[in-house]
Amino acid sequence: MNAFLSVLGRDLRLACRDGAGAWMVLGFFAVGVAVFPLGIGPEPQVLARVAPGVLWAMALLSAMLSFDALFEDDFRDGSLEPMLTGALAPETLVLAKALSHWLVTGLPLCLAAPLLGFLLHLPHAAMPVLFVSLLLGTPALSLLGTLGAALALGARRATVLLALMVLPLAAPVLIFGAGAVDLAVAGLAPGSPLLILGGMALALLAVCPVAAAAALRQAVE
Amino acid sequence: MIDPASPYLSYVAAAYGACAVVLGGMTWRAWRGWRRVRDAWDRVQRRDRP
Amino acid sequence: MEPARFVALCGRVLPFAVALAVAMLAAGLLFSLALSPADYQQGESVRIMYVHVPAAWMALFVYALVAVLGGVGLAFGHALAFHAARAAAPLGAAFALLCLVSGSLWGKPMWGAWWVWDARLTSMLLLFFLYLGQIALSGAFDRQARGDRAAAVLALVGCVNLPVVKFSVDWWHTLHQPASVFKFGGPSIDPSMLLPLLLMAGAFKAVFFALWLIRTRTAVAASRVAAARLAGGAR
Repeated sequence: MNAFLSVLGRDLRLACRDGAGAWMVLGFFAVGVAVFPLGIGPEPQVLARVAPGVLWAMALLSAMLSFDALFEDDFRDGSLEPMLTGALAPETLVLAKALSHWLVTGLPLCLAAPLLGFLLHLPHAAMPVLFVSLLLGTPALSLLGTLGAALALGARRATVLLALMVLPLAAPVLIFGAGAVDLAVAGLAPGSPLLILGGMALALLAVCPVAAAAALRQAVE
Repeated sequence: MIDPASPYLSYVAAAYGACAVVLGGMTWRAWRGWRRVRDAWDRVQRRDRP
Repeated sequence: MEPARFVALCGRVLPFAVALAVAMLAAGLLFSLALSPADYQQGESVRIMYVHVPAAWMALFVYALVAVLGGVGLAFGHALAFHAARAAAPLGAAFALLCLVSGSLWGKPMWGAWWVWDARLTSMLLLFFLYLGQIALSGAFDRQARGDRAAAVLALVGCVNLPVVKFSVDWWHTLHQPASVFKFGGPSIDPSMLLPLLLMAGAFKAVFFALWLIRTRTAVAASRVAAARLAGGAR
């Protein structure tokens, strides 16, 4: 637990010192969402219809952009290898990295999404559902992205490779996340997709650290 | 027997054509890959067992 | 297994595998194009099913095979399992692509559109993308061993994820149910259509096996040649 907290604290301190990372992800999210009305047109009904999908797809892409640096810096400067061979279990390291990624990018995305929902005329009743669906879905994305980053560590063109690998794996998260908001827009109860979303986050919490730890061990071999 | 006057004939032909292209392309690539490595492999074998 | 023995064994098995594939393919084409009736509802277009459905089965089967081979490779460290997995993945991707193309060619006369976001077609599209990621990852490293192991982990995760993808796409499809689509594939299939379907499925499997043998042999020989070159350069 101490090791977990020290890795988490170190990563959060690094992220705070170089605060540009989180802001850039948020900026990408906002610009990306704002581009859609420019392409689709300003009709409120049309925007409200596509808003859940656009917000969720953009959150997915924004999270995807920020994964390649997750292990890359530690890998390059050689601090990853002692971390893995030390007392710390690689699974713990992966969990700490995923949590720090979520705190630095996932949580800000959750908080920013309702504001951007106003821009897209998302009905107010759907705002809490949007927030909750992202709150359940972004940890799942962070876990999947951590796995992808561990797999692509040291690869050529790692950023594109990561997106190519993780986006199909993340499709169910997108489907249930945007689906829950869609149901809320239609005035229906979004309970079941939200429960499934939470279930998927828990399942990924069990699978991803183990798989990512295996990938990290291969990377430093 | 397939009816040559069927309005769907072109779609059926295109589907089986796509099948031929995919299977043929896979075969061509697999065989080309083996041909490229075969000579070097034979040389290594001759050196291993003179 | 030792590379030289494996390559020799492949050379001996391959003629039989090719003969089987050609014979099965000939029988499958004969039955699917000539010796089976047209459907009373779909007419001659039902013959596309004999390409489309076996291709879908093969795409799923090969993905599972790649995952199993990757698991074997990770658990026991057999280089042969990794070579076989790397040889199989592009073949599976080709079958997925064939399934999508033939599905599109079936969809145009039946649904009136080249592409419909049907639950099954959408799952197959995602499977095709999973294959692309798989192939890209295994080729993205300077050290092939690293690519093999990373791809094996991805294949295992993807295999676990595949039922979730299927379930989520089915749910998504009921959520966004289109107004009316032509439903094909009834609960039961006539024996006169089952025989060509099974023959074509067997033919695809035989073709896959022959090509997989060739590609695995190539991968084994190439890695042995590369090792010999490295040893020769060091000397």
